[in-house]
Amino acid sequence: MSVPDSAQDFLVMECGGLSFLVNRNQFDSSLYIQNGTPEGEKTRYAFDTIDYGGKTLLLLDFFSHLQLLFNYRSTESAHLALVVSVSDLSRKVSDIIHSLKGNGEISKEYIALRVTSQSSIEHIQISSLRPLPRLLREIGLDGGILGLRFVATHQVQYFIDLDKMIARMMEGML
Amino acid sequence: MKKLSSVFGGLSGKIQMVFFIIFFFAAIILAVLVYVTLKPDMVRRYERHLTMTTDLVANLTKMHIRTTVRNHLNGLALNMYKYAEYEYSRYLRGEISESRAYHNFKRLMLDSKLGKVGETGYMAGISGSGRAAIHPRLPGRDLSKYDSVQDAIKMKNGYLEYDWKNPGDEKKRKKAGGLLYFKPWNMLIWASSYRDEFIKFIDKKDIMGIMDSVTIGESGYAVFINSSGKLVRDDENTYTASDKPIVKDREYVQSMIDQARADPGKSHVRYIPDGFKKKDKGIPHIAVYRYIPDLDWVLVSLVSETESVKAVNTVFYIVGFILIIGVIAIFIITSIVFSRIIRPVSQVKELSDAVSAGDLTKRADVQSNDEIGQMSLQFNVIIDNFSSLLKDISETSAMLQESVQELSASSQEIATTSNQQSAAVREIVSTMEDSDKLSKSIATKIGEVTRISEDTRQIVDNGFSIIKDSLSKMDEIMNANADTIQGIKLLGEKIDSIWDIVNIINGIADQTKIIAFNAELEASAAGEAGKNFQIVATEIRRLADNTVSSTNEIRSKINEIQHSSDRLIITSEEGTGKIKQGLDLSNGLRKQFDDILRSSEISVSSAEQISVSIKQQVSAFEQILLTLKQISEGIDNFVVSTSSMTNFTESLKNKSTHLNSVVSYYRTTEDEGDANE
Amino acid sequence: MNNEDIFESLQQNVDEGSRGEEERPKKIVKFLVFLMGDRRFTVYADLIREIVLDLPLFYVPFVPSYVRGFINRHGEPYTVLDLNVLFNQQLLESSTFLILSDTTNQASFLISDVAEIMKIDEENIHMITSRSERQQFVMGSITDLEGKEILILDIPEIFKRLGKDVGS
Repeated sequence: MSVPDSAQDFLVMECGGLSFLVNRNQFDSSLYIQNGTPEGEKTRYAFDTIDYGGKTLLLLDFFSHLQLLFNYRSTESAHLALVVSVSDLSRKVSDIIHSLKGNGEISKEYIALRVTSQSSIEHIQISSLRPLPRLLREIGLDGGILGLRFVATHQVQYFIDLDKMIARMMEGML
Repeated sequence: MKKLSSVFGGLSGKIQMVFFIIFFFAAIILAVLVYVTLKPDMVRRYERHLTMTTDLVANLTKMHIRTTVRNHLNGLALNMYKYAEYEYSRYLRGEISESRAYHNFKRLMLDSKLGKVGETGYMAGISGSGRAAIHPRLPGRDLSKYDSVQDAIKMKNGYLEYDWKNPGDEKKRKKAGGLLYFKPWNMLIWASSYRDEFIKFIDKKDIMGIMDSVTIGESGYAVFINSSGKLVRDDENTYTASDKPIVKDREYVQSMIDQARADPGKSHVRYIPDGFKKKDKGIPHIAVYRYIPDLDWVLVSLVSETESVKAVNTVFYIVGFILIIGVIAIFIITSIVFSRIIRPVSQVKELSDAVSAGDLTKRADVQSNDEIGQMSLQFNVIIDNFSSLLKDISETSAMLQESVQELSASSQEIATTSNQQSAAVREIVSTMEDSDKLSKSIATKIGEVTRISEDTRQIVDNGFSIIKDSLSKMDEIMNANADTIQGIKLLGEKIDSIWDIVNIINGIADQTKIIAFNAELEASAAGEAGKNFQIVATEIRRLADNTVSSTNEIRSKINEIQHSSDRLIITSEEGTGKIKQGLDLSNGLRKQFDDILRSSEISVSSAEQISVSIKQQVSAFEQILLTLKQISEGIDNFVVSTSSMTNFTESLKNKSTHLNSVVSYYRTTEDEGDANE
Repeated sequence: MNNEDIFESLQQNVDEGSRGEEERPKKIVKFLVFLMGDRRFTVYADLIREIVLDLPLFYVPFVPSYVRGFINRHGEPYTVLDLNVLFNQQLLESSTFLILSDTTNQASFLISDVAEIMKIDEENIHMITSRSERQQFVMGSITDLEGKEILILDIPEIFKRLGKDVGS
């Protein structure tokens, strides 16, 4: 293995007392959703959407997904939308996205993920990351948890993989 | 119906009997009254009827006779008048002179044949002034003084009857005269004769006819009897009395005739044993008879007595009939009425039977508003009241039984207790008796009191100072106590703060323990090389154990201290209380000491007083002893009375049981079984 | 006994003791006895690296219920297994962890408290051999000073179970 002494930009999301790290190169950009598409509101489509630069993007509620997964509650009302390029995602996911029925208006290039607005980009040393304990490594990986990072004795940051997570989410949608 | 008839035999039968008896007697009395009042009345009616009939016939006869005579005389007078008229008319026509006419007329009137009236009677012409113008015997005589002549002048036309005695006659005889006034010659044409001479002209057939038409009642009749007592019968134109033995051999008939003759003006009544007809032999008759002077007959009207009382008998029969009808009617009516009345009564009887058998569930069915209905109502009320009373009694008796049970139990308890008491008192008495001896011996020792009282004073003085000391010491103790309490409270607070430290130490102990374990694990892991470290680990372990046990000790000790301090506070506070009590006591003591001091300053005479009072005490003691003995006796009596009360309660229990059984005889609700079973 | 005799017997005891030791090299095994709830269990002491207290437990999804998550021990994550779930189907409310010495697996057990470390004669370790005695996750038992039996946990078996459950 190469010396993990390099640093990398990570999106740090803090919600419900937990923190999540997302590799910066997993998404293209982000935009602030201010009472954009409220949760649960039915649109023309069976799923949420967001307008982005004239395109209509599928908006996945990653915010709620993380809550369900990690068993915490958050009552934030303002959110962020991460714009993810479909081509960056695994084949499985892009197949699913392409197969989605819409009016053709839905962009097949990008999708959006709703996340917490308590997010920031940090430059983090790779060496400060740890994988999950051996016993949990594989199962975590399947689920989209790549590793962790201890910050202070009482706090940990979960290093997650958007691709895996999105795949999991979309399986649930179908 | 069966019940009704059984009751019939009773009440209604009696009432019916009463009704019958009343009715019967009433009917009998009525019959008797009727008989008594009606019969004479009826008889009198018949008598009156007979009398009326007799009078009527007599009058008719008289009238007939009179009329006959009158007609005859008037007829004669008329003839003469006509003749006078004829002669006058001849004069008027001028055939003859008036005197000739008058002369002719006079000659005619005096004719022995034409001027004869009857046998001795004659026609006469009387002038208007009462002079006998034409008279066979007394021509030219002035007869105006005679009443009869005056009456005749007044009358001018008519009929006249008067008494007349011719010279040479013995007595006056009744004369009759028919009058007609011939005006031209102012002359009364007078046809006169002795009345009795004309009797023979009377058509006795007519008279008999009058009599025959008389009917009296059904069987009554009238007869004529002549002066020799023979019936006058209408025997084919023979109007003579016939020999009828019926009349002849009745001696009463003769007396009847005599009586009638003696008093001819009225009818007489007599009850005769037979009627005058053959068939009436032996049948009593009522006879009313009257003398008919003109005919010298006696008119007798007869009616059988039986007929007269026939009506009465009819009444009798009617009364009898009414009686029978009445009896039947009464029977029927009373039966109906009583069945109506008796029904409720029999209902009430049923009800009372049920009640006496113990069944209180039935009630009378009241349908009428009369006295019986109200009685039934009242009966219902009574049963209701009785029923509820029984319930009450039952409850009360149950309660009573309970109470009696309790009473019995408690009275037995009392008896037991009293026995115990009695025994105890007896013990006391014996003890008292011992004490009594003791007190008596004390009394003898009273002589020492004087000495003691002197000593007492000294002692009191000492005691006084001791009291003072102890009082001041008490105050000190109080204050010290208060300080102690305060100190303890502060200690308590400190102890609380110690707990925090203890907890910290506890934590350290735990951690130390873990450190020890870890050290030991390290030692094991290090293997041989770790042997030395093992010793260290053991030491650490020991240290940890010590720490833990120390902290445990500290914990428990602090607990103890806390408990102790709590207890101490409580005790101190109690102590404070007790000290206060002690203070009060001491103060009280001081007072007493004051008293003693005063009383210690007593002289021998006071000692003697004490001696007296002690002697009094001794006697009082004896009194107490006596009283105790009395109490003992009293308790013994009480025991006796409670035992008798136990007997009483026993009998009460029996009585209440009896009451219960009496009450339970009665069934007050439907679902109670029959108490008699 | 007089003093000489006493001295003699004393010496004898010591000699016998050391002879005994030379003749028979007795094997003493250390056991760590701990409490899970109110039940006592034990493991071979050398299987335990460390005992740590009061560390925060971090949750991990996708794992079976007896995996409570992981803790941060000296900057390294250690899986936390709650044996109470396995034995009693109940979550243990505690923050005392037995860090296992197996470095590859990086695992720890959540326990109520550590009781003691016992030195047991090898002879006195009762291992389960017969089928009838088999109990899940138990490999044998020892007896404490009061004579009570303490079950020895079979840690490899536990990991085998975990391995099955996480699908590795």
